[in-house]
Amino acid sequence: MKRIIIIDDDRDMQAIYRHMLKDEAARYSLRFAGDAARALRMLAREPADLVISDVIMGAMDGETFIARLRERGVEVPVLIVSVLHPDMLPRARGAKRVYFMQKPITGEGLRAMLKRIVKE
Amino acid sequence: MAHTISQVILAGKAEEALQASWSQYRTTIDSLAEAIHVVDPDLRILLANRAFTRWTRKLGLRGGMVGKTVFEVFPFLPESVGDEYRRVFRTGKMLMAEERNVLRGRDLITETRKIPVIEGGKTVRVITVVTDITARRNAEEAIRRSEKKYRALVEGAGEGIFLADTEGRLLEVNRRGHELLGYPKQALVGMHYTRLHPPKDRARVAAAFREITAMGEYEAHDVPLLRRDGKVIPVDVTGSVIRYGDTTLIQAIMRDISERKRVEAMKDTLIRDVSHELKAPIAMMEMAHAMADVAIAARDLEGIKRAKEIAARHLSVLGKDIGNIVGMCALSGRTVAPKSARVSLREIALEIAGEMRDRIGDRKVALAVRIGKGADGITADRRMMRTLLYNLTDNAVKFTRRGTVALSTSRAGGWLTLTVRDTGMGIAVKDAGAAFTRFYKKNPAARGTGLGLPICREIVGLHGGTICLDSEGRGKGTTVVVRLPLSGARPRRAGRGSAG
Repeated sequence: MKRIIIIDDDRDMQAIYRHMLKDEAARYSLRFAGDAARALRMLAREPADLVISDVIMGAMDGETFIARLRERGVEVPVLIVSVLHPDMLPRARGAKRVYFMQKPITGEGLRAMLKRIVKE
Repeated sequence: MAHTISQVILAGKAEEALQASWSQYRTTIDSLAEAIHVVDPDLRILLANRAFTRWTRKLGLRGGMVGKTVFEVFPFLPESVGDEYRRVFRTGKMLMAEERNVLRGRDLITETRKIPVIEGGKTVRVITVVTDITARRNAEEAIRRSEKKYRALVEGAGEGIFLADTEGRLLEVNRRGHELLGYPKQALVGMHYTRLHPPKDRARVAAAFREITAMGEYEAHDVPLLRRDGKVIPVDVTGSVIRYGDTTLIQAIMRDISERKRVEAMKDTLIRDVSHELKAPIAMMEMAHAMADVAIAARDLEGIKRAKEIAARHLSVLGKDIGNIVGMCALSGRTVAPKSARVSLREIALEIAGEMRDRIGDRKVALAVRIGKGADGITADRRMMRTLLYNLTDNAVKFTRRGTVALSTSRAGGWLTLTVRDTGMGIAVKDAGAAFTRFYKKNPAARGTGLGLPICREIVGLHGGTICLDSEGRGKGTTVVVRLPLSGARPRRAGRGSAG
């Protein structure tokens, strides 16, 4: 069972993730964080195998989140899911073990990407 | 008798010799290129050479000057010239003078040398050599004027101009150059040009300097300059070589591009934010649509309902964002005028409170509408009032994680005061004014177009009211106070609504 933390402050997006991964319950356990600061606290308590994060969010954006994570030596892979093209996210692009998917995403696409990241 | 004859013969010979010498003297003077005339102690002209005659003719003076005094020939000469002649006759010493006269409305500048001819210890004649230096003096004056103009141009230039020798030592730096680098006037003169750049860039700059020297010109974009205070600013540089005589100088013109870079960065952020705000709800609707497809196939009624709700919510968000952008364009383009109608702010506030529930989600935020039935009537544009209340409430809800958002009104002296107070994250006092700037977002990663408050200000301005934002500081909540005239709008032009 792989532990995934999903950071998104939009409850609707959280519902979409749940719906897309509802048949994968045996493979992934999902935990949701409404903001990046909360995800950092969750990671400090318990490690995860993958973090899925939005970019444009309340107090801390996705790129800053990745920087904070790496500053703390947490090398967990991060999948950035945003409507923004990766080219517009130079800080995230420059970081190691960061993957991108541009919204809108499909359930199929998301599941394939998770499989790939977890295998790596 | 013989003696007498001999004397006569002698006298005749002497006169002959004298005439011969005079004739020789004339010939010599005549053949000289300089304009020369000779006067006797009465200042009568005894002789004027060919060059002199030519020159006076060129000036438009009539010929036949021999036998006349210098003042008869040159009536424009000042009396001081007579004094000069008398001095030469008295002292037997040469005199040099520069004279400025006006002849037929034109300047005539001459340099004269008055040379005494001494015979028997007495000055008997004065040879005057006249050099017309009008053209020379005018050329010098033109050079001085052009030099002055060049100085003014260089000093007043909006670009930094640096002049160095081939070793790289700065010889001249204009006012703007000193300003760019934050040095007092003239402090850069004598400094080596490499010191104008951060240490890590000096090798690259030195290579550019060599290229200017070799190629004659050079252009570089976004070159870092090291200011005296340690700050680094970007400049565009145009370098060129100036050569005159044996001297070679290197000139560099530097333009500060920090403002241009700031605007470019702002534009990029703006495009990123606005495109995000428009694309995000569309992406959500697409994903909700796909979710509905899966739910329909699985006959999952709950899933279909959920997907429909998601699509509806994000359709409304998209509508609001596009409305804000279009609304801002219309308001700032002065293409709208408020319509006058009786409007109940209470009704609008209650309507908005209902819509906000979804936006609040599971956060512990209480939204309170404290508007009494009698205290909410106003003559205004209903749609604009709705936008005003919506934007203010939406902002308050967005920046309050837990606590209260309260809307209230009061009436006094023909004015209605609407207050939207929250217990949210607040705003630093120094940022309060900027909140009314279009596309301003304190946190660039925050959601929204950054148009909410600027639109409110335009609307309030159109209704002749005022709007101000107040906060005790970060973490201490925000209060927005809007004052509107009760008895209908006293419209002013959009954009004039005062904000504080």
